[in-house]
Amino acid sequence: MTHKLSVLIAMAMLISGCSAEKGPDGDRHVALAPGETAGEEANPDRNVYFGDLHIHTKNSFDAYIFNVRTTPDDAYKFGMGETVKHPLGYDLTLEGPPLDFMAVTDHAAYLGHLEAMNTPSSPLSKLAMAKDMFSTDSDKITAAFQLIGGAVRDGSKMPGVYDPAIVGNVWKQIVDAAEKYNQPGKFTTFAGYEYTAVRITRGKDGGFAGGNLHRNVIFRGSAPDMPFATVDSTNPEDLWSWMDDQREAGHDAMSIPHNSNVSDGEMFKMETYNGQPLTKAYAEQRVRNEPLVEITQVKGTSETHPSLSPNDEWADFEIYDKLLSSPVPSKTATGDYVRQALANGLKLVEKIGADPFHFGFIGSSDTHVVGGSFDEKNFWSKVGLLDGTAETRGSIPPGGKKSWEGVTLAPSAADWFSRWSASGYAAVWAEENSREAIFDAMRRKETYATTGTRIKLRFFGGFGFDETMLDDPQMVRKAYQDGVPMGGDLVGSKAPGFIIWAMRDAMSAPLQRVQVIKVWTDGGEAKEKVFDVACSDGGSLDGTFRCPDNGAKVDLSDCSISTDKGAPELKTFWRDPEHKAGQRASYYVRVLENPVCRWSTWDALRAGVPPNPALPRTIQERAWSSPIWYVPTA
Amino acid sequence: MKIFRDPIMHFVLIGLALVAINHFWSGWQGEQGRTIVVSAAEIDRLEKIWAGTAGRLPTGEDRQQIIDQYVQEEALVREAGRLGLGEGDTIIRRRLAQKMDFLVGDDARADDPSDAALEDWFNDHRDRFAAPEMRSFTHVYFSPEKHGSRIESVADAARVRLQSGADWKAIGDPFIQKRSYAAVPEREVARLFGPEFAAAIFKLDARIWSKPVGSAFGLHLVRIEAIDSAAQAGFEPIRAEVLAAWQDEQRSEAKRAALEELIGQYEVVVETRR
Repeated sequence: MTHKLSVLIAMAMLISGCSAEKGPDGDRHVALAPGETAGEEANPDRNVYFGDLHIHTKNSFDAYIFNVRTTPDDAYKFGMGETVKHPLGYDLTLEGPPLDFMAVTDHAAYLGHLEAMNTPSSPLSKLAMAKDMFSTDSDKITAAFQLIGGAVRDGSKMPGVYDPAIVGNVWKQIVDAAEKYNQPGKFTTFAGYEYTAVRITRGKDGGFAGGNLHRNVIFRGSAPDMPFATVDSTNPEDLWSWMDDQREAGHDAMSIPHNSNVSDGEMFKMETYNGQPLTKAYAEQRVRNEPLVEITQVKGTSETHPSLSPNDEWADFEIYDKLLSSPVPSKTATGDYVRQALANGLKLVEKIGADPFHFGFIGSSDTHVVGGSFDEKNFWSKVGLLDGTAETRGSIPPGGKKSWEGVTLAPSAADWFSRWSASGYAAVWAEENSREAIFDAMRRKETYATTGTRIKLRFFGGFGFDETMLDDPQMVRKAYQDGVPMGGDLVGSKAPGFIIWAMRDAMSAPLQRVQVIKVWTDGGEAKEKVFDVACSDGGSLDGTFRCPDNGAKVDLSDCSISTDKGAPELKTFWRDPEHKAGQRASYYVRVLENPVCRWSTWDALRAGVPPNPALPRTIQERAWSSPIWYVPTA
Repeated sequence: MKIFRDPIMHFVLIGLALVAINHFWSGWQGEQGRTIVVSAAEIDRLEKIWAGTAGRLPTGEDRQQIIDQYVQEEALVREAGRLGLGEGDTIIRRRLAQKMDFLVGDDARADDPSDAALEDWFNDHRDRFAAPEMRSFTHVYFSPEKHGSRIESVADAARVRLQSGADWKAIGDPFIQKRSYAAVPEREVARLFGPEFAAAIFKLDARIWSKPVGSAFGLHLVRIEAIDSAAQAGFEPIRAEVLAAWQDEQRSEAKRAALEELIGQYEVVVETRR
């Protein structure tokens, strides 16, 4: 943290100690704008719902310190289309239709403790640490904050600081807020929290750095009195055991890992937390508790990395690989990216008889200002005071300069904030918008991830599918009947066929291409291949695996895009041309839109300066389906 | 007496009081200024806040801590005041300005209006309380990916079949979202299909199949099934909401006037840079 920034934080925090009293939060019933999914009959063909399952409020230590004072109520209001305030005072409003489902996921370790430290009547405010935390001395603030961050990470219960009564009390408020806003048929809310484990991989550096093992815990319905946090154990396997017990006690839950991209090789490691070989029991417990992984969010993409996928021209998308709060890059060679983990999972099936990495995909925001920042045109990033302006994000030169010549960005902007993304959504195919239907869809992995666009995507695998189904009005029903949707296992001995159907988001760019990513193993070696399977603008594959360039352009002078390129929908039947009998494989779909300006380019355009030359000018928004696994039978 | 409700009068009075306090301050340092009273009401208030954070009631020990903390703070504040530590402190300046700002707002409180007056005001501001027009519609979709340049004629031919009573469910291309939507406002249709489509279908007549309408996805034949007109809300059912809006308006109007008057009592000199 730069000195000037810390002073700014300190000032702002002092002021915030006396922020305007809000008027009484009247329990005014918030009418939901009727959307395509409001209060409808259950649909056996399933509807797609968009949500955000990763949201922080003032109850998180690393949100409160950056002047966030908004609450779970505010998070739900934002999701329903209302306007909330950024810590810097400007308005945050969701661009698209209201969200269909949400979970607030504050860090369970030291939940609510920073607010207590800043409340004069609380015993915690008398601590020397609290006085430092809310002082004007940037070194003291940083040191105090690191103490809390370190304790969250190490799971230590600092004597005289950690108070389970505060955690229990705030947790109850969180569960109650979810209960209050849940409207079956219209708007679904889950009780949830973040389990914030970090593996010390590089010795103690006093910061928050290390191998990120964070997970969000989402409850299907009722929740226990206390969350299981790092103060209970820093080993995620203990979290799974606790969840197994909770399930027995009637509190069904799943945990969803995120930011494997900065786990320093730990998230999908080929051994247990304590360095033991993986076993069948381990794999079964893991998939029982972790059917999904969050692969896109503000802190970058966890699909794959150019060094792992040299033959994938789109593997360099929104790569963010600096360990949390650290300039040190994560070890990407193994354990950080999901594509590689899928292949390792197939290897493990041969070795131990089960696949611990048998997961589907979602996206979410990880916002720390209660409102997810999904829209490139209007990006507010994630951590309140620190990255709430274009200048602090490094998308315009500091100090009102008009050019990038000779500019050195603050490390926080260069290493972190400028590399962050306007992303992402969790999309779920479910019969209705209710806790049960959406949670069950997540459990069967009928989900996909998007980078903040609302592409609609269907993906089915089967043995009896063919070309003619594409125009059949009953296609979806038949596909469910005779095959499996995204997230399913396709078990059989014949060659699999796939139906893929993608439709654009009316508020984003048209579609450019649809791809299938195949992952398999050959003689114990992980293999992958990217097949383009449907092209826009009449592009033909002609026996290759790549669409021709459709010529879609972005005009960087005003960020307008080609109006005559791209497709509103792409639909295809695809057979794997390289199918080998008896060979296990997993297949997932990636849909790419035409390019649009990245948020950093929009920031620069508004400020009348050139975009930061170190950043991509444009991006291709995308969606990734959960895989379908081909499981051959002898 | 109206004069005592006038915020400006309050400022004058507060100002006078401050001058007086300052005048007597040094003499008042004696016995009085050396007494810190922790009232029962204050203890009660502090305990409530404490319990709210800790999630349990304070024990005797906690209570003593709460009181000690209060006394300590009070003593420190008085000493700081004596030493003039508040001078030139940006944070304190801001906080004082903020508190004064609240006072201005709080003071500007009008008596509740009569029913007749409120209803008149409601009639002048009806649009604020209107529910937007909602439409229920069914659409038949034609994909440009499938039909290319023939798409217009394909859609026109389908319209003829629909007009002669063919079942819409069996016509057109599969659509990945829904084919029937119930009671959606234009803004929502724009978010789902694009603004041009939304504007077009909000001009259609009900119960007949439209000519082809373009959207972000392709062409559609649309039948409006029902129109819930923009409902002019009746006054009685939402009286409380109207009153709240009226009070908001009164408050912000009074506040604006009070601030203007307050600043008007100062001569503002802005020096230009040479």
